[in-house]
Amino acid sequence: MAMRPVESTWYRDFIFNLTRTKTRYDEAISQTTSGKKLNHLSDNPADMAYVLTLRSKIGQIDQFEKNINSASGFLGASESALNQVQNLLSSVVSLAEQGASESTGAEGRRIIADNIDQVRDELMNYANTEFMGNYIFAGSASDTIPFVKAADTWDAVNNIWIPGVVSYQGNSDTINIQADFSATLATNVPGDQVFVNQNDIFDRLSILIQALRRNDTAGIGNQIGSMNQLIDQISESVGTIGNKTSHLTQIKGMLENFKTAMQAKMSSLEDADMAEAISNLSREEVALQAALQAGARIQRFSLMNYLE
Amino acid sequence: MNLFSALELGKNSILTQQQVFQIIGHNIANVNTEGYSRQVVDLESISSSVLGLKDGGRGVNLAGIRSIRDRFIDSQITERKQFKGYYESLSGAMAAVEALFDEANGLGLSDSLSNFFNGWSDVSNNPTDIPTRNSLVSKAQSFALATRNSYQQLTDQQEVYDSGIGTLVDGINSIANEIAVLNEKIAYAEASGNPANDLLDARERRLRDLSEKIGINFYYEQSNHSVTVEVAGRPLVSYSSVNELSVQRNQYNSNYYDLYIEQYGLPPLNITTEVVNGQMGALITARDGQTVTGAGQITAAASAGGLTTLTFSQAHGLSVGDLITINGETRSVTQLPAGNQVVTANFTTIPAVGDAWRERNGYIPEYKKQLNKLAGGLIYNLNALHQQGYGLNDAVAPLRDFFRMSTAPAGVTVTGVAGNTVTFSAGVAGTLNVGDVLTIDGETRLVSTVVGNTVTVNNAFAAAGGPNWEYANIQGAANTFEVDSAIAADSSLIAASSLPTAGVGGAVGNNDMARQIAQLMDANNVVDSDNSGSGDYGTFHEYLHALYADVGNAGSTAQYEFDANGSMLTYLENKRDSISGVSLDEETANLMQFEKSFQALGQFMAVINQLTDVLMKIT
Repeated sequence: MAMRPVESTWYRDFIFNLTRTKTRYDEAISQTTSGKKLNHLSDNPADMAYVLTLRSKIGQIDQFEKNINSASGFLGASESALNQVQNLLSSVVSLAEQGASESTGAEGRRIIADNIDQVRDELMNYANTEFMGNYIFAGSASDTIPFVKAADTWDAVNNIWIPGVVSYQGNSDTINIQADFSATLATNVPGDQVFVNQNDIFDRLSILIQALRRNDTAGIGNQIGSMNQLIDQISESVGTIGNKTSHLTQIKGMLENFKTAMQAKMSSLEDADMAEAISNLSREEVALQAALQAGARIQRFSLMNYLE
Repeated sequence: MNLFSALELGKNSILTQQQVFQIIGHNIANVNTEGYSRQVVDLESISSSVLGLKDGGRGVNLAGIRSIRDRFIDSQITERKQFKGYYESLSGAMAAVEALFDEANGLGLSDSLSNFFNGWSDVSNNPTDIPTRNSLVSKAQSFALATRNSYQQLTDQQEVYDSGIGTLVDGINSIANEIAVLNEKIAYAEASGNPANDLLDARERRLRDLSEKIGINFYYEQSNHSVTVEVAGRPLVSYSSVNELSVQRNQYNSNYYDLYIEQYGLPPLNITTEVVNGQMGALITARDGQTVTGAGQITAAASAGGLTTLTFSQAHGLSVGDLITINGETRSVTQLPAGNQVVTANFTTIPAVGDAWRERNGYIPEYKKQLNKLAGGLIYNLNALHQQGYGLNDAVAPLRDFFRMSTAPAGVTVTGVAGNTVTFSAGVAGTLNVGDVLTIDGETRLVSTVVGNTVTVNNAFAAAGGPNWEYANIQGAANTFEVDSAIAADSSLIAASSLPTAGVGGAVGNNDMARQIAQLMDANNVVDSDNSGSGDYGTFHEYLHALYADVGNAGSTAQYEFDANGSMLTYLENKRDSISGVSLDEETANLMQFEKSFQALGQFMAVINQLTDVLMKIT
């Protein structure tokens, strides 16, 4: 409908359209500068809620990775302690073989026995390894020193010192971490499981030491075989730990993929397409310029100008 | 005709022309006056004074001044203004609410909640590390603080709107009085035959302002040219009398203002729930929620001991703290007995069977309720686990809360626990309500029903505990949400372990509890969204994000409607101006036209004057 043209409608239209153009221009600027198309809850409530959920999930994945790293540290410390224990046990085997040899005399055997007694103490130190202030082989009793040694006792019959009994003070509890949204994984092997339950390593070493001190070559020979059992026993635990570590690495890789996919989805929802945002911005700029120019022209031509 | 009457003709006509110039000037001067209707003059020729005499006419006379207006478009603009006022204020209010939840920039509750749960994961990674525990405490405190702040800021917003209502009432009354005065003046002017053009414009302008402030109905009286204005179906202005609006604080609605209108010969009438448009409607909606009719009717109502118990014909869906309005009286729900009943403070007029009732939906009260439910869900789920755990030096489970709960009222003890029924030594209705958290000897449950001194809970108790108990009200849970003060002071009390921790071999490295609590982040059905006394809604984050979606949707809808009404109004105002507005070109053309005739009249009088001179010289 053709309307009677009146100045006030020109100005009203001008202001109304200028406001609209400016609003769009502002939006284009904020999208370009923030790089995001979701800047307020009301920009797109459904997408916004989705983005926030994704953001919390990504934060959670970061936390899982943190959990895994912390567990890896723990497992790594356990593994290296047990590797040392294996080395020590191997040295015990060669010492025992030397002790079993005919050429070694009673005095030699006593020296070897003292050596092995020291190794036994050293081995206990490894079993009492601390990682970040926690005893790693104490089960969940991580502030309780897991292995303590009683004083040596004098065997009056054989006239030898019997090495002090080593007893386990930790518990059999496993410590689990949350590795991803559903998987929990034990990060420790309790000391009783490693050192005591199958064969009591400290007890076996004590028997070997006593045989050496008694100069009992038959007894020494018997114990060499069981020393290899002990090495196997530790290997078993090392294997378990290795499996866990590789499982964690696997989960970590999966989480990374997960995270990448979520980040991509989040970006597609909340990030502005820069090419589009910038072309929007220049379009709105042109529109704003045109609107301002049109506004400046309002009433340039008026009958008033021709009044004499 | 003689020369002297020709001079008289000239004089009259010049005077008339001058009046025309005045009108043109008036129009030009008002070119920018909002709502001004251009005025046009009606000229008429003056006929001969005596019928039958052949002496021609006597020039021109001003027959009248008309303003050009289209009352239909005027009315449309006035009507449209109430929606503009409503959506403008509402979108402003929602923008303020949105700003409280600044999630888009990652500074909001959602991230803080994630940090809190991740803090539990950190503790589970290193349960004996005190700095890690301290960090969890501070994460929990900052989430609790953020929740309380959000809740408090929502309340602050409500108070801003509440005081806005008081201010608006003054503005509305003063406009109503101006309209009454204008009604009177217009009636006088019209009765005395003077066109009341400018007064009519002034009244239209005030009607528009009034409509923007509070939705109105209005109609024009034929008899005296007055306009009658109604608010919520009650007369506000009729001719020269005004029934003023007033506010009174409603003790049942946080002492907020209720809106009243004067009635002739009767006490003022409460119209709070009936004003749904204009800025006033927006303020009430943002503060109290949108008024909607409740499902079903009242089937029974009884008052006793300062309380009214209402029975509904079907499930009412109300929760404690909700507002309910019957026959203009508003109360808040204080208890929720079973069987479609609610208990409120006493109704002055006891509702009758079959009465309809109204409740409020959405907006700030709803957001606060959702924050309460979120906080309530966290208190329930966290404490239920935490109560069973052990701190760093506990030989027996210390039954400690992580989030603070209220201690039982003095003298009220648990006298019996059997399955999911708990008996107390005294009535607990009002203290405990459906959806509240109840802990007896380390077992934490949600309250399902409360009748007298018997309470049922969502899950059976394992042990027959008592007599001590503690609780957390779901209503206002977000407002008092806080970490247990003992834990805040000593983070070693955080129960990360599920086994005794004291002494040699104590399971301080056990992290089962911390891990389970961290896992609550992904747990489903942790929030009791429908006030049934059992969890039914998604994860904590999902619930929070749904709240955000509500806020965002309310904001974007209000903004959209505001924009749409803006376009509509611009169109209508342009249309009005195309009819009633001043065109400078037109006025200039008129000016030129009348200048010419004015000049011609001057010449005419000069000629007559010369002719008179000629006659004078003859003598």
